[in-house]
Parts: sequence; structure tokens; C-alpha cells
Amino acid sequence: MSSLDWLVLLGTLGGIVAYGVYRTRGRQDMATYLRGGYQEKWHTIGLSVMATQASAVTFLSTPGQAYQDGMGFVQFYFGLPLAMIVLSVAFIPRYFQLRVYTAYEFLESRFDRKTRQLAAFLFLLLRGLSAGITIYAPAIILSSVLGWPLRLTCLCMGAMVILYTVAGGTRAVSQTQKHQMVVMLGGMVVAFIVIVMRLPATVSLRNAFHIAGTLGKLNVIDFSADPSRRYTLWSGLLGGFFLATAYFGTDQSQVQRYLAGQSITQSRLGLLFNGLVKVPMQFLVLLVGVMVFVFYQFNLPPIFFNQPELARVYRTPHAAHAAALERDHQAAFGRKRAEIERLDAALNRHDEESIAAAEKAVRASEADSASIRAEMRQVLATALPHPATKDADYVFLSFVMHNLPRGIVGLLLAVIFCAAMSAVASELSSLASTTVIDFYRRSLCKNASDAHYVRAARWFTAGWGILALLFATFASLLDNLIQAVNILGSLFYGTVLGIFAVAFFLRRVQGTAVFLAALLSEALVLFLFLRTNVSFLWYNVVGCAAVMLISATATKLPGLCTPRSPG
Amino acid sequence: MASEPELARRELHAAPPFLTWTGLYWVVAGALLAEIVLFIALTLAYR
Repeated sequence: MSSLDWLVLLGTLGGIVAYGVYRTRGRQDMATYLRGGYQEKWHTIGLSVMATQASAVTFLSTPGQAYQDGMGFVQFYFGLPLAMIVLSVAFIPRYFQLRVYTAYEFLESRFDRKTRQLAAFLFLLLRGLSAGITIYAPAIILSSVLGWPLRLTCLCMGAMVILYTVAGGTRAVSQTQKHQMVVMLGGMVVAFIVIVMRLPATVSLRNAFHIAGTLGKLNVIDFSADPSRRYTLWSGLLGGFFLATAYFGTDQSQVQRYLAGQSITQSRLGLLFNGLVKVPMQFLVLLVGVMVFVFYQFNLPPIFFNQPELARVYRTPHAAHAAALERDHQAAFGRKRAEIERLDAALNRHDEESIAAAEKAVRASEADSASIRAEMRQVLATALPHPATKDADYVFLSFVMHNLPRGIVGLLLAVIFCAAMSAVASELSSLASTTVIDFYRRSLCKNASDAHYVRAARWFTAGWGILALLFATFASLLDNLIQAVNILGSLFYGTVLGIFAVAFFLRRVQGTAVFLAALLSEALVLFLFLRTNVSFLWYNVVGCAAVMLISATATKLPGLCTPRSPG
Repeated sequence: MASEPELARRELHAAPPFLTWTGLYWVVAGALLAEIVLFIALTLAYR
């Protein structure tokens, strides 16, 4: 990395953190430290909500996903704008009326303490584990591609976040996220422009789209009704709606962002801004991946983007096989490039017959290249004891490091660091507020002073941060656990959303009924996960619907869960 | 001077600085619909 890249990277990160700490300096009470003092305007809320959702993996893995599988992933976000409308209508007014610090406080006012603490406990469990992963996942990719020590990368990212989150609380998180999100969006726009400019002069944007489409990368919409297919129009609209409603409406890391709003109006506008911008933003990130794919149709890509992993193969008896495959890969690329250039020329001549013939040849040569890459993955799997064969995560960073000009490399690394830091900051702040409000103040230390709870929140923020850092540092020893954590979120969100949906929409249902319904629904979701191949997006629909249905039915059972009589 | 519940009620029903709330919800839903139509066109045009 050049000095200019270091300057851009450290200047961007340091500047944003210093600004956040400066803006939130001075004495803070509990409302300021945990709720941001009701000061934020809609644009800060909107950007902060987006920055919380966009982790570093969004910018590392998503372009790689488009590079390999095309644009279909954007369908995952189709339910989000609709969820923002529902949250604006139903959730925000209730949270503001009760002046709650956490979403789970609302559940006690509606049901009882056990239901509140069940939901809060599930949040602490999921978010506490995922905070470590949010640091670890980008750190392993960054350290691998940049050659930095893994633990030092984790420590640098984590320490900076802990510093400003402990110092400034939720307001510092929102203020830094606003600027981090601007860097992220700006960085991806710059990346897109630079990649398009680096395509050969004869290749127009339209031709680039045609080449990508010929090779199946512009398959945005999938109309399939097969529930085992992960991303379709229907799973995105319905499953995505339930997932987004659960995540933005019941996950304290998001609820805390819009509870900081000056008023209901500002919080609603912030969420609607997110609803308007999110789908185009994800489309842009995926399109960057597709343009990287087109770039590599004219420039030789590595046979495997995770180069340190490939280097390990060359230290085994399989080295000769790997070297032969690399030679085949280069030859296949030469043939494919010639066909792509023929297609490009035919497109420029508008010669339909030649276009059709060139498209056929391009697809055939891409199939050749794909089979060679698949064989290399087989070699990796055979040669190495614990091979990392999922190469998509390394595509974008590898491209940035080897093909983009000085300065832009630093900017895009800043994008990745900003994304990691913003997501972790929200997680730590929300973990601390839930621990203090839903457990410490509610059950352990009921009548202490405001200053005492602020001090406790600072200690809990630091404690959760250190726990996340420890988890990230030793995560390499816990591969299976990481996989489990990634799945856990989708297993529990539907049930938690069901509890909130009952609270909002089924007025007659009381605490015991919803508590029992939550336990039964969770068992049903776990059954689907363990015994069927239904895509995880549908778990949110099933979990939520089951809680509503079972609790409504249980309420009708005489004696067990009968509603309280009015008055 | 208005009481606290009255202020809370006013805040709950406060209009956004532009359009109405219903109008804004239609804008968000309409933008999603337009994006889906655009993506369908893109999928069909470049398959």
C-alpha cells in the first residue's frame, strides 16, 4: 500500500472518530448516553440505520457474490421498504409514547416481565455473539489480502470502536455513522466509475451490460415459487418483509438508532429515507461486482482469489497439478477473451447474426473456464486440511489491491473499515443499553442515580467490546460456532417479531399465552431448520405467524390464558 | 399552555414537512414497484 493510501485510510477513519468524540464531549445523563438525548434529525437517523445494517461483509462479500452468481441477491431487500412503512405506522408511535430506552421495555408494559426479559435475553445472546463475528469476518479477509497480522487487525478495529462508543454513547455512534455512511456510499460510486473507466475503450457501458447478461450475471429477478431457492421475488417480498420488520422493529441495535430522533416525525422520516435508498444502494454494490466480472473478461483473473490459500497448495504434493491447472486457466482465458472481443465488435456493428454466434461461443468458453476453476477447488479441498474454498469474499478486495489507482485503494479500505466499525459500534451500544435497562436497572439495582446508570452503561459497553474482541481473536478456533451464529439470527427473529406483532395487533392476548406460543413456535422453526430444506427467509414468516396463531388460540382456552377483564 | 398528553397527541399527528404521511408511504412503495419493474426489464433485456 502506498503512503497516499495510508494517508487517506488513517485520515478518514481518524477524522470521523475524532469528530464523533468532539461532538459528544462533556457530561451526559442517561437519556443522552443511551437515547442520544432526542437530538437527531431524519438524515442522521436514516444514515445511521443504514450504517448499522451495512457491515464490512456487505462491501467485501456482496460484490464477490455478484461476480459469481449475478444480481439475484438484491431481491433479499425487496421487503425492506414495506417494513419501513409498517414500522412508521405501528411501531414508532408506541415506542415514543412510552418513552422507552429499549424495545423490550414495551413488552413489559404490554405483557409481563418474563416476556420482556425473554426477548431481551435472545437479543443479548444473538447480538453478543455476532459482535465478535462483525469484527472477525472482515479482519480475516483484510489480514489475508493485506498481509497484516489477524489479531492486530481485530485489535485495531475493535479498540477504536470501543474508545468512541464508551466515550460518547449512542450519540457518538449516530454522529460517526452519518459520516461513515457517506464515505461508504461515495466510495462505492467512485469504485463503479473507476472500474468502468478501466474497461477497454471499445467497450461501452451498454456492451458491458450485454457481456455480463450473456454470462448470466444480470439475472436480477427470479419468479420461481420453489421454497428451497434462497433469493426469489416472492421470498424477497414476503420473507424479506418479515425479516426486515423483525430486524428494524425489534432488534435494539436498530431501535436505538431511531429512538434518538428529535420527534416521531424525524424518526419516521429517517426510516422512510432508509426505505427509499436501501434497494438502489444494494443494487449499486452488486453492480460493482458485475463490472469487476466484466473487467476480468479482458484482464486475466487469478484462478483463485484467496492467494495465500493457493500458495499453501504449492507447498503440498499437489503443487504440480495446481501449476498445470493454472496453465490451463491462462489458455482458457486467452480463448474466452478472443470470443468476448468478437462479441464486443459484433455489438458495435449491430450485427445480430454475429452477436448470436459470439454469445454462444462466449458461453462455451466460460463453461471451460468454470470447469477448470472447479477442478482447482477440488485440488484445494484434497490438498489442504481445512481449505477455505469459498472464494467470493476475496474477489473485490483482491481486485481493489491489484487494479485500482493509489488513493482510491485507501478510500475503499476506509469504506470497509467504516462499515465494520459502524456495525460494531451500534451492537456494543445496544448491548450495553439492554443490559443496563432490561436486567441491571430492572432486576439488580433498581433505585440508583442517573449518574450511576451512565457509569454502569460505560462499563457494560467496554465489557461487551472486550468480549467481542476476545471472541474475534479466538474465532479461528471456532469455525462451527461461527456458522451457527450466522444461522441463529434467522432462527429467532420470526418468533421475536411474533411477540411484538401480538403486542401491537392482538389486544386480547396476555403474557402467559404469548410466552407459551413463543416457545412452541420456536420449536416449529427449529424443526423446519433441522428436518427440511426450506430457505431461511421463510423461517421469519412461519415463526411470526405461529406465535400469533397459537397465542390467539391459547387465549380462547378456558382457564389457561384468559384475557384480563377490562378495567 | 397545552398539557403534556395534548403535546404528545399533537406530536403523534404532526404532519411531515412535505406531502402527507400517506403520500410519503405511497412514494416509498411506488419507488419499490418502479425498481422491481426496472429489474424485470433488465433481466429480460440481458438474459
